[in-house]
Amino acid sequence: MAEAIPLVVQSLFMHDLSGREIVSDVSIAVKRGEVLAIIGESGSGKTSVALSLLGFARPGMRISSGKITIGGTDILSLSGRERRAFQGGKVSLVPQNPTTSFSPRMSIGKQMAELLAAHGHSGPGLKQLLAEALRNVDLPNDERFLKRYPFELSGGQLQRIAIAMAFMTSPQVIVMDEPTTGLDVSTQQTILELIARLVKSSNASVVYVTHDLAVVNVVADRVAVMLSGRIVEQGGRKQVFAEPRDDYTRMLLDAIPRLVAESPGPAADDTTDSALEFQNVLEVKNLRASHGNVEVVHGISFSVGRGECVGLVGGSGSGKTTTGRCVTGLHGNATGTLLFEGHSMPFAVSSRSKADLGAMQIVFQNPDRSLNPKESIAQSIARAVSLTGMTDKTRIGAEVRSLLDRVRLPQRVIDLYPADLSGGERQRVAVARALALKPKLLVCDEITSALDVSVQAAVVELLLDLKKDGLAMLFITHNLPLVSEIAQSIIIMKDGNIVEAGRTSEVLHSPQHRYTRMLLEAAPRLN
Amino acid sequence: MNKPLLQLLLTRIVLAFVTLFAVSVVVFTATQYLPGDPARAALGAKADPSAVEALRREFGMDRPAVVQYFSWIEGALTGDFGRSIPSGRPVWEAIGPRAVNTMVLTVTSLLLLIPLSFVLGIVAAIYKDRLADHLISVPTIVTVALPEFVIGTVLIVLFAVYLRWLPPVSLINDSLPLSSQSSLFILPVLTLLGTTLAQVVRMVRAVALEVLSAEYIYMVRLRGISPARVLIWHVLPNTITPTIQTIALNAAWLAGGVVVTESVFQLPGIGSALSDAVINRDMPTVLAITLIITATYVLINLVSEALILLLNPRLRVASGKN
Repeated sequence: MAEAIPLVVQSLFMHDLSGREIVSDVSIAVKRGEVLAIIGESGSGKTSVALSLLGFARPGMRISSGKITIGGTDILSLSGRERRAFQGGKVSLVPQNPTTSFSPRMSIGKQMAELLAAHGHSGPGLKQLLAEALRNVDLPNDERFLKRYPFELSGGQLQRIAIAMAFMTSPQVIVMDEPTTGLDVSTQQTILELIARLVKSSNASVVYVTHDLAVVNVVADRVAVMLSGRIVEQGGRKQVFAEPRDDYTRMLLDAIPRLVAESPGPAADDTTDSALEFQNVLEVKNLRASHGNVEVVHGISFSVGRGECVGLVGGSGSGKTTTGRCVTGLHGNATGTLLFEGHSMPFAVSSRSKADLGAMQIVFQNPDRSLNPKESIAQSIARAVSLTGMTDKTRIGAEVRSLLDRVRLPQRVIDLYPADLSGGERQRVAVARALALKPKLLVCDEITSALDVSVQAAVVELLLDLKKDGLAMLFITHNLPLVSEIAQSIIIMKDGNIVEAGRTSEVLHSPQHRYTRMLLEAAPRLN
Repeated sequence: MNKPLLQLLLTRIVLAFVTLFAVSVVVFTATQYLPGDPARAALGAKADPSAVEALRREFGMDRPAVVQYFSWIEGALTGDFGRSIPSGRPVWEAIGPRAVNTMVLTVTSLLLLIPLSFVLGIVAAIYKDRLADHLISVPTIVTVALPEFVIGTVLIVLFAVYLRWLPPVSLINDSLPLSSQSSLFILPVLTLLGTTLAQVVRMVRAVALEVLSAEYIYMVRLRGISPARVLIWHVLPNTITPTIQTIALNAAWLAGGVVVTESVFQLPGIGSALSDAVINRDMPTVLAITLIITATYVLINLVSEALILLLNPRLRVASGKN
């Protein structure tokens, strides 16, 4: 008999407690040293499949039937104790969000040692494995580092540790659940390289779950595309990307934002000619902002014109979000000049006039946290509408409906609550609520980064429409390809300074600064 | 211990003394304006005015209030709370044994409260919405809604009148060792537990539910760590800190709220001593007892704040770096 395939899943079905089918008839097999990427949007069941490989179902969900064989053993037939020997030992998991995946009151050294101890290691053997694991992910192996607590480490460092732990016990199967989604582009790149290197040297079977097709291109050998709990297409990466057979796969591939430099033609250049004639809505001069005594934005100047979208791009810690918060009055610890429609604007939100407050709106990254969960969609938007001074209930209702139309949400959502909507729909509600005040300037702070690609594409399309209507936008993001689709000009920020600024096409075609070139190279892309 | 943390604790201790001082001023002022003359209360309504005057002079009550206050505080700082007016005995001699009774009662309740509420709260959280959870949650919610005199009375009816297992009153004899009278404490301790347990159990359950559904707990489990280890090393430490405040609140309540329970069981403690002293206009005793109760409150809060600081690795590490 030939060497057994380490991971075989046969007709896996999963249901939630109300009996709804979440995963339908999923079968996959992953050979030694092979990386299978499972791609799909949130709600496609990809994460459920990934976690089931550890014999685990999230609360409210159950594995109803099927077979998951790891190294010849069906883990679903194991008792709790036997299953635990597999979890972390023969099959390990790299989580999506490294910052919330470590026990907060235990040092990382202890958490690593705990894992090894649970799988039969002790004494000098344990110490040696630990040292080796840290070396593999380029982290220092000294007592001081091991004594650190999770909150003392960056997301990138924690993800390295999570990866080190996943490989530490030499498992046959390693499951990675969106391991780079929470990281910024430059970190993402190094983590991807690290994963690729470790996969090669470990010879484990890897299942890599992601919604980011560009990442798939870097790591995967084979691809399985999931939609509503089913695998709609499975095959070699090159084949799936070059000749997708399924409509849904084609749609996913089309929805990926591409750098304009690579695909000339789309949205951004239709307005380039008029770009110079923008009448300034916002002018920022010599803006300095501090957190406590630490200055994080060091005197930057830029402007946003009517109907213009300015992309503010940078990694985490670049000061881009702080800049957006200063503009909208949410960060008062700042100096410099803000000119809004020609008049000067104070930094403190409390000293701004009601009209100015309405004229400048912000949409945040995470709609889950910016919408009141106990308020229906209608209530959420109506409250914003009534701030314009409208009191007549029927008129407010009509306005709410027209706003929903404007963000292309169906009227049926009106009585629903945020929890009933998908991430993309929620973000559109947040945009509708911002538009209710008829703003002149919309600050978008990473508004698409929590969304799936296809949803992201829909939100971007919406923003393009709004831009045509004359709305000025400051689009804050770390996603360079995305911004190239909607922004006429780009500002690149690093460590609180603007390192490069200019027309989108110029910045992308002939980047002047080293950091811009690095960002362009780091952006994962197809082919 | 590192410097900034020590500084933080020192600030808290200084503040604690400021609080004590403020309370002593307020209580002293209040006793000055209380209707009724202590000397007349001690000697009876028909007493000879010259005898009353002599007694007033003897206790220094003829001096201006400010002078009285400072001489009293001077004594209090050296442990001398003055003499009780009706008996003329030193205050401490009269309330000392009663304070010990109260301390045994409250400390026993607290020592049972803490482990019991963690066990019950975490078990309820683990078996959320199942039988074990209901068995824990329903009775604790019922008892939290009842005042302590109702719980005390029900316990007396059940255990003393009906079952006849325990005495209905807790008349502790000062001349016998406390250890031989431990059964007298059972019903009062149960009463205090009944009124405090529910709140802490609810809090522990709520925090534990949040911790149990945290991503890091799933991650730890998916590393193959045994359930017992997950519970003790990951769930418990993250449940303790947010509940310390609630426990401290209940401990402080025990220190003061013990008054009613003591009177239900006629247990000679500090609470009943206080109500006696107020009736007799025995100001030195009133002052001494209020100060003791305040000091306990302040101390409990101080300890809980210190614990929160010490248990938080963020504060520990951040201050250790400098």
